[in-house]
Amino acid sequence: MIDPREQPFLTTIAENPRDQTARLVYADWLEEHDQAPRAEFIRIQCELAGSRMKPIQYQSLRVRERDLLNEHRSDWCESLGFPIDDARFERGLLAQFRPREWHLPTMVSGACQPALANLVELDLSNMQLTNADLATLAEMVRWPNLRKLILSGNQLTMSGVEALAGAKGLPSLETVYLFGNSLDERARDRLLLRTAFQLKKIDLGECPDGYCMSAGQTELARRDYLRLHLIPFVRNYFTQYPLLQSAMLCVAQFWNDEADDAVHGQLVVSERYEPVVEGVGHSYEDDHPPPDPNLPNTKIVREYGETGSVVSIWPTPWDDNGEAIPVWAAYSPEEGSQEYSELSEVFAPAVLIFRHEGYEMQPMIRPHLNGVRPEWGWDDRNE
Amino acid sequence: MIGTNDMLYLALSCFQGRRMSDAAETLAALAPGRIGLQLTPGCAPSPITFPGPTRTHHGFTPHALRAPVWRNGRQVWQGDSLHPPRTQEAPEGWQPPADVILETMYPGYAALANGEQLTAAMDEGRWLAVDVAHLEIQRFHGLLDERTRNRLLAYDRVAEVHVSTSKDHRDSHARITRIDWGIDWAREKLRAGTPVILECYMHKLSDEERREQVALFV
Repeated sequence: MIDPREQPFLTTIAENPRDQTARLVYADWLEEHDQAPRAEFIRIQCELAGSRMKPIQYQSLRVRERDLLNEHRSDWCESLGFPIDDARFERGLLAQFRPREWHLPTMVSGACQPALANLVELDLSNMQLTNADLATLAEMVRWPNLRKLILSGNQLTMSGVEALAGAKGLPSLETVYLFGNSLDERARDRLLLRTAFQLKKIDLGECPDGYCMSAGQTELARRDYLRLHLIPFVRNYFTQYPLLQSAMLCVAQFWNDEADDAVHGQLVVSERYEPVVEGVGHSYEDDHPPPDPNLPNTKIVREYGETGSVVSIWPTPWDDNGEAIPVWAAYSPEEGSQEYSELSEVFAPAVLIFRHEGYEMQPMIRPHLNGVRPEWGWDDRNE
Repeated sequence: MIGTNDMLYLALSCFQGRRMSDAAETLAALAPGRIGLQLTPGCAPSPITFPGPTRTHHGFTPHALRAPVWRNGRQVWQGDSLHPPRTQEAPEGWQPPADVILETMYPGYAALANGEQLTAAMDEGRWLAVDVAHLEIQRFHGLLDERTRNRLLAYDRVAEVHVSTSKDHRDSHARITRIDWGIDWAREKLRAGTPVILECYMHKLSDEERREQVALFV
């Protein structure tokens, strides 16, 4: 748990979120109190978020940031007192997470509040959250910088929405995901009337014609896939090969005459702090694998008995002609085809995963395919 | 006056993966007022505004990337022309419906995939959509002899001609050149009033190269 003496620092930072100095003062205090790695991490992330720097300096800071995360990320995530996933740090402080289980008393406890005061995004999806839970949360928390709150897949009704609309401690809230609850347009109307918020986006799961998932639904489907399938899969590789530092999910969409526009995934594992896709060979045709910049030392044995950095994600669920299309096609380059010799010809990175198990989504290449309905009637058959 | 038959159609799939509206707009600009649009699957749904004639092909729907065409050998999609079902999707002894325009295909399909099946279709007097690139794939596999191909070229029930270039066994929908096999025949068919559909992928072609593809026909 957080040392109570840290509370004033965290409160000051929360009240002045743009003020770098407040974070650096906090870092000094941490260093003076035997928490040098956290202090260094705050300073590094502040520097990375600050002014432009030479590439070599940037790279050096990124490497040190990764080293610190590799060594301490799990401890820092556990400091809240309950297990979390999808954690992300901004300028040295926890900015985003999803609790592994819903535990209201801990989350609203006074001991926990300072550590959450700088939250930017909180994912409470599929937590069996009730209206009463949300009412307690809305009444008790003071999260002045929270911009995004994910409440999808819970047990909320209009009563819960009324409670959220009455929250006094969420003045920066801009985005709320509410799909997967028993709610309709009235929820949007009610929250938009709430002048204490600055709500810009309320996702109730509506899709335009031709689309089967809203933007929020695709985002959570990707997170679920990463959390439940891909990261545990990658973890096994990191455990087996200690030199590996990172992995990269690459995606491609293959066209053919049937518009069987399957979206394929390949995983590149790497000893580099950031993997590269250039120079990675096709996974099937290399009797003599090309030089692979991701693997100067480690030879990964793939399921076909070859060596290289590409490992198949087939052991994880991947419906390449179904859900992979609305969820991942937006990250794939256009004009994909099965005719390629190097991965970079048709695949593009979608997610970078690091040894410390944090990940970074890459920008969408074709956002108009995000959530697209793969086949007329497809979602009916999946109900 | 130009009719809707003696017209070059550009397939929406030339820009597969883009928004339908973006693909249609880009294609229309290649030869304004002189081309039609073949509505094919594989583009993201968005409202299309196209001033010329349109035809629909195999699984197009404005409501998804594609619509199912066959279920257990039963036709569940209606449009101007369609592919036969794949071999594994057709029940044993499957026969195509009588009143549809099926496209000539290549190994892996339950009909019109080789010279023997083409001959049977012509003997029955079926209307066909002839894809010249697919015929080349049949030839690559040694499944289409000269005699059958010549009979098909002279066949009077060709409802559509599809043009692009294949590579060996691959239906790669590559750009065409004047010397590619079947292009002169397609131009003759167009002049004689048969709709010709240009289906090459244009994503990586420059605007000039795209216009050159169209200029081979109009």
